[in-house]
This record gives sequence, structure tokens and C-alpha cells, in this order.
Amino acid sequence: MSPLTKAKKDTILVFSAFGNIVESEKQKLTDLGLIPGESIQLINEAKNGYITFILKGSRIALDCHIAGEIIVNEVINEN
Amino acid sequence: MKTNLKEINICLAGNPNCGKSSLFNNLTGLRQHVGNYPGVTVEKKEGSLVNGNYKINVVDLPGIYSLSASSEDEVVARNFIIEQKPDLIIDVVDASNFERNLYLYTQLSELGVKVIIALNMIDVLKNKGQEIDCELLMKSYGILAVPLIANKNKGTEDIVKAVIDVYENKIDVKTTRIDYGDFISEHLQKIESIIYDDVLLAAKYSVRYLSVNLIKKDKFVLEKIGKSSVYQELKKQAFESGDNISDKFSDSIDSVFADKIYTWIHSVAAVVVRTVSKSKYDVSDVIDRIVLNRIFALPIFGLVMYAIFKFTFTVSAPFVGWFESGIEFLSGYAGEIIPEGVFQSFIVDGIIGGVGGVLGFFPLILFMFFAIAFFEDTGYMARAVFIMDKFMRKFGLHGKSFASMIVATNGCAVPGLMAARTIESEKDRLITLMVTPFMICGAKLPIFALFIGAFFSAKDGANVMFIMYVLSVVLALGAAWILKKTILKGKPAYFIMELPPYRMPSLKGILLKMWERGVLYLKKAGTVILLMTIVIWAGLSFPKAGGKAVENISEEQAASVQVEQSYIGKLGNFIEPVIRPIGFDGKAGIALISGLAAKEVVVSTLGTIYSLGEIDPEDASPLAERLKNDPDWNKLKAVTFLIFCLIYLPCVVAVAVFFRESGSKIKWLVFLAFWTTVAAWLTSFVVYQAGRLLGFGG
Repeated sequence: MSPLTKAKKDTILVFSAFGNIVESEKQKLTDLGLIPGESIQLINEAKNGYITFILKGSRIALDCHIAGEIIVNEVINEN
Repeated sequence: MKTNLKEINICLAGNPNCGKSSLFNNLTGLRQHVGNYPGVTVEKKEGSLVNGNYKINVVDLPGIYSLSASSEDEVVARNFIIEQKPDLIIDVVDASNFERNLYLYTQLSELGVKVIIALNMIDVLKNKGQEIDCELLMKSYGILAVPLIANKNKGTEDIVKAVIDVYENKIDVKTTRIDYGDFISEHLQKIESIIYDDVLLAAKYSVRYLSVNLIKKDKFVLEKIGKSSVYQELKKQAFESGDNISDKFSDSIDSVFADKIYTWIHSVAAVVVRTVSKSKYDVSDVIDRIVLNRIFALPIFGLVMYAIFKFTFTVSAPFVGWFESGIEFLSGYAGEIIPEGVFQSFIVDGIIGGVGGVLGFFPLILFMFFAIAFFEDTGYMARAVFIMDKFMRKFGLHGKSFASMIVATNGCAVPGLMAARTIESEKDRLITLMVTPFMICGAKLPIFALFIGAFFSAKDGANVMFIMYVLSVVLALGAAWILKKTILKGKPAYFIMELPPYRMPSLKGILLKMWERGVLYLKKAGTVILLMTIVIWAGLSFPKAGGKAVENISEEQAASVQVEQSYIGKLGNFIEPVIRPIGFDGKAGIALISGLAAKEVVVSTLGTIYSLGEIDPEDASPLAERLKNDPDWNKLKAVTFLIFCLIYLPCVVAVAVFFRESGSKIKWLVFLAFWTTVAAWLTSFVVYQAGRLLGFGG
């Protein structure tokens, strides 16, 4: 298990748990479909202070502060 | 006109960017009563349509992901749905993102209101190689889904028919009850039985909705039941149940419920969503790899902005010319047919000179709205917010603050201020409210167009305008940085944003947006601006100059004396010592004061002042030409004047909205007035005096 900020581009990840983030942000991510066991596909790595990934068919952009509090398991590395 | 029509009240709900506004436009056309300002749906919009014996009243709500609202715009949507209880809810669902969009549907359905799904973007889903079996959805789950392609206006009639059929119970739509499992259901039943003890509460709200959200400790719901006779008992049971559920599943209560809902959604999708062909390559992915590229993102953004201004000024130029010629002709014609005297002066100098000066820029405003609406509808503006977030954070702002600025630029500061509602952090929202009025809104645009047209060549016009836009952003960012470092210290909120897929905008959608925003401009011209023009004309025309002051002088000199001796002229003389150090005379001061009513009034006031100075109304020249020929003006003064207009206190409507959006606190209102006025004067002073020292003008 590692934070989303450590994940590599084009990998399929499975969301595991939230770290230390504010309740309202957690609520918003949950509403967007980020629930334990949900797979997400990283589009852009955390090189620029931001991460973009696909969650339930939608492109989601996050800043790295919050992405660092999203704990994921890596399933497949397409590279 | 038909009478005795049956009225059906419906609302459009859905996730952001699911096509609600497109469907709203298709349903209501121009029969809209825009409750807020167009450009961003942060308030509800209302419209209606008549079909057979039915009048359908439609409300378009801001986009929401769920009923647990976290920002002000979401609160508007949630409160409307729960408090107003429409006859029907149309949940606009992005078919290409079916599962995520169905999450809101489950919450809407639990409210006990009949819900119809408008299954939008089925063409996009088809391109992904999938389809949704709507018949099976109805048969298996009692969910009515009507296929739709809103941006091509396909399926709108089917939606209308479905609304009438469901309203008349010809189609039976079921209320979805999520199976939360035995453990949670037992707790829900305990809470529901307490709610039923308060008959009024049970009748007012959906019991299911209350029980689920009480367990989640939803503040809004707790507030709603605050006066209930069973409040204490309910609260105790709900909190106890919430803790038990959280312990049992070792997860937060929101995650537990979300998990149950998504499990149900997944089971529905597994039955009704079918893969029929191989997915085509995702165009959005390809575009985003370039547009969001670390190196190219900012230059591309700059190019897009530049293209908008170049397009606006280049394409609108001949139209503006024709409008000006028309106004000149009208002025000459009125001067010809109306006998010389006060009434002629009122019509020619007051009405035509003032309002005409503002109306002359109407084509330019329309082209600007068209260009920005195009980029909005493609999905690029959401990327611009994302691209700008990192940059904005350096100045203590949020990416969404940039959206406010864009909206302000895209018509009016008022919707820009309202767009700040989407910012969750209060301090970030306040800073955004403080700096958004610095943007060049549609009302300031005529002032800029007038002075740039007068003092710069047509070739340089678009470039100077672009520089002014950049300057407005720089000033806003600088001001935000100062505020963040001083009175509004704090960490900026996190950035979470969905990037919508790129879409080809519909011409009708863009034209409607352009028209909505353009009509506001025309309405202002016919109301506030007209009224202010009459006041300014009267203030400049009375008292009549007479006696020795006008003896043995030319008509031109007499006109000048009249302006000087009028009420407004005296006011101008009074304030002149304050504005002289920044290069302005009394006339400019009067224009700036009148601009507090509405920024366009700066132009109409100058129009009236200079029109009164004209000897022969039949030979009136455009205002830009008169300014250019006035020895009191030069390039440096024009630029200083524009900078002052950029920064000083916004119009009275924007100030009122600022007051409301900043929590109706007098201290922020006083601060805004003080800070914008002082900043405007100081910046103008530095620019003017530095310009003089460098030899740019005197």
C-alpha cells in the first residue's frame, strides 16, 4: 500500500483508504465514487504538484496534498 | 392564449457538466426567467413550456454529485429539491459515465419524488462501444430512462412526453430502495419508527431520506428536525446507530453507505449496460496529453485567451462601425426634425449621445460572449481552471478563483462574484470576492474599447486590449497576494475537480448563451444607463449659463461655459483637486462618479458631456473622435484613466452582491470601498507621474 502520489503513469490502482484529510474533501471524493476496492487509472504522475486519474470513467484532477492522503494498491503495471 | 392549462413543476438535477443547461435551453428556448446571472449556474434558472393542455415550469439547478452539499451552489440545489418538492425531478445522467451519475439518482429517488432519468450523451456512449437497455431498466428496476442527445436537441420531445405521462400516472416509476443489508436496515427502521411518532415531520419530509442522513449526522437534516418533538430521541438513536454501523464495517459512515449504493449501482449496470463493439480511441485523452502537458499548458492557455480577444476585436470592428454610423445618422436626423431648444438637447445630447455611446459597442460585446461561450462548451475552460490552479496558489488563490475571474470577464462582475460560491474555503472565497471586480467585465469593455479606439491604431487595438486584460489579472493576483499575506491568512483549500470530456459545442447553445448575456447588456442600456443619462444630461444642462459669462463668445465657448457652470460641472470642479495629480479633469471625474451606477455609464456620461459641447447636432462625430481631438486628453491620460477604471469601486449592483456573498458584513463592504479607491488612485498616480517623467505625455 502506498499513497497515490507514489504511483506511476498508466498503472491500474485499487483505492484502499483515506489518510488524514478533511471530512468535506473525503465526502466529495466519496461522492465521485472513490470507495475502497474501486479501481483507478493514473493518467499523469505527481510531477507537477497535481495528479490526474480516471475514476468510474471520469477524469479527476487533484493536488498532491490530497493525493498523498489517498492510499492505493497497485494491481497492474502496463509498462 | 390557452387557459386552464394543467401546471407541472419539474426541476433538472444532475452532476456538473451532464448537459442540464442544454436540456433546459431545448425545453424552454427563450422562455427563460433567469433568476441569477447567466454564465454559471450557481443559482436556479427558471423557464416554462406549453405542450397540449400542460404548462411545464422548469427549474435548472446547479450541478451536484450528491445531496450532501459542500459548497454554496450545491446548497442551492439541495435546498430547492428538498424544500420546494417539485412534482417531478428529471435527473440528467451522462450515459457515458452511467455508474457515477446514478449515485445522485439513488439519493433523489429516496426523497420519494418521482424521478425520470434523461439519459444524455448516448452518442458518446455509443462511441465507447456501449449501450444501455432502457426497456430492461424499466422492467427490472422500475426506472424510467429516456435517451437524449441534448447538444443536438434529440430526444427533447420524448422527455416532455415522459413528464406528462408520469405526471398523469400513465407510466409507473418506482422509488428505488437501496438494500443496505440487514444490519443497517434494522438501524434505519429504529430511526424511522421514531420519525413516524412526529406525524408532521413524517408528512413534510421523506422518512427514508431523513433516517439515512441522520445516521450520517448530516447538519442540514439535523437542522430541519430541530423543532421536532422527537428531536432528542431521534438524535440519540441516529448517532448511536451511526457509531454502531461505523464500528461494524470499520469504516466511516459515509463510505459504508456509498459502498452499499455503488454495489447496487454496479449490479444495475451489469444488467443494463452492454458492450456492443470495440471502444474507439478517446479523443479527450489525446487532446489532454497536449493541452495539459507540463510545458505546453500555459502557452496554449495564453494563445487561447489571445485568440478570444483577437477574434472579438477583429471580427466585431465593421459591425461596431455600422452601429456607430447608425447612431450618428439618428443623431443627425433627430437634430434635423426636432426644433432647436431644450427638448432637442435632451434627445440628441442626452438620450442618443449617452445611451447611443453605450449601444455602439453591442456587437463587440456579443462577439466576446460568443468566443468565450465556445471555449466553455468545448470543455476547455474547466482545463483552464486546472492549469491556473498552481499559478493561482502562488498568490493565495484557488483554481476556482480563476473561474470567477473568467465569468466576470465573460459578461459581468456579478455572476463572477456569485461563481465564487463554488469555493469551499471561506477565506479563499473572500479573497476571490475582493479581487474579481478588478477584471474587465462586459460593462467596462465599452470604456476600454472607446479609449483604445480613440488613442491607438486599429492594428494595435487588439494587442493593447490583450495587455489590459493581462494587467487586470496581474493586479488581481497582486491584490490577492497582499490579502493572503495580511488580513486573510490561511492555507488554500485542496483542489478536487472533474475534467469533463471535450465536446463539439452546438451553435444553438453558444448563440443562446451569447444572447442571454447580450440581453442583459441591452436591458441595462434601457434602464440604469438611460436613467443615469437623463440625470447627467439634466445636471449638465442646468442651471442655464447666462449673463456676462456667455456674452461676446463663440457658440463653442458658450457650450463649454454651460458645462462648467452646470450642477455637475461644479461637482467636477469640486473633485478636480483630488484627481488632478492622476491627470484627470472635472469631466473625467464626473464620468468616474457616474460609473458607480453602472460602468457603461462612464461612456454615456462622456457621450453626453461631449455631445453638449457639439455646436451642430446634425454634424455629430463619434465620441472616440471627439476625445481624440480634445487637447485635455492624450495617450498617457487615456491609459491612466483605463487603469483607474480597472481598479476603482465596482458598480452598485456588484457591490450589493459582494455584500451578500461575503456574509452581509459591513466591515468587508467598507474595506472593499476603501481598498479599491485607494488602490486605484495610487496605481494611477504612479502610472501617470512615471509616464510624465518618461516623456509620454503632459
